Amino acid sequence: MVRPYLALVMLGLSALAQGANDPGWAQLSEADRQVLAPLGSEWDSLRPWQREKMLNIAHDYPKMSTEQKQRVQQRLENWSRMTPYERENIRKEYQQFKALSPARQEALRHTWQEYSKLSESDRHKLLMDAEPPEYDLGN
Amino acid sequence: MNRAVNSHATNELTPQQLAKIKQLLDDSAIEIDNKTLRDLERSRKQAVAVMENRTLVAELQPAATGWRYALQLSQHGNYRLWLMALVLLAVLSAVLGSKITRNNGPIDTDTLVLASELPPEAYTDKEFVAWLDHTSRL
Repeated sequence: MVRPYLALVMLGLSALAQGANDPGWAQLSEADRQVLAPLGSEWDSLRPWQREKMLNIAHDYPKMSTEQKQRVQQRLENWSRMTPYERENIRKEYQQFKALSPARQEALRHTWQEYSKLSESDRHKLLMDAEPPEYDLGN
Repeated sequence: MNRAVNSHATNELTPQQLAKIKQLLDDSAIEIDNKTLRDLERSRKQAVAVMENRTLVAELQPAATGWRYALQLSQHGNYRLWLMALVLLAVLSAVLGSKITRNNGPIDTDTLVLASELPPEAYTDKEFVAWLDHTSRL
């Protein structure tokens, strides 16, 4: 007799735990919704691990400066659309970037700014110029 | 029984009586032989050991009481209630634990990447890498 109730309670508890770790858009706090607003339309279609990652960002948000907060807001949408592989590569590259001396980091940031000013065609041309030459194997 | 204990407790010695006993003990202490001294030392150690055990039992008393009630619940067929309470505590601990870790832990790498002055695209942009190569050759 008690067993069905026990099962229901267990089910309820697991749903509670699941909801706490994987909340839908409506279950998010007002503060989290504000930070994650760029993802509002697609939040419910994100996978649990994606939501968890994004929630980590939302919870770190209050610790950031105004400038950093703006950057996060601008980049969040694009970030959520990247594949896990792309994101993992970027994390590795970021760690390498942070290992550089401050002077080299500054130089790289400056180069990025210069590069950002180039047109699409100029950027493409640079890529073509930089590709290694094809070797004639005599076939 | 309780009355007898209480009357014994209230039957305290006067300061004069205590002083007389102390004097008699001090006087006789000089005459105590080595064997009696060793017996007294052994008895004292035993008494101290018993006192230490009682203190430990007193410290563990609340936890022991909790477990005793829990066991009583299970013996009276309420073990399901006991089990549910245990599961509830485990779930709440997991949820609260993850929240505390999330709020007080170090800043996530993803957050650092997004907040960095160099945008995430810079690391994956092949043309930018080419641009870096190009500028380093100039």
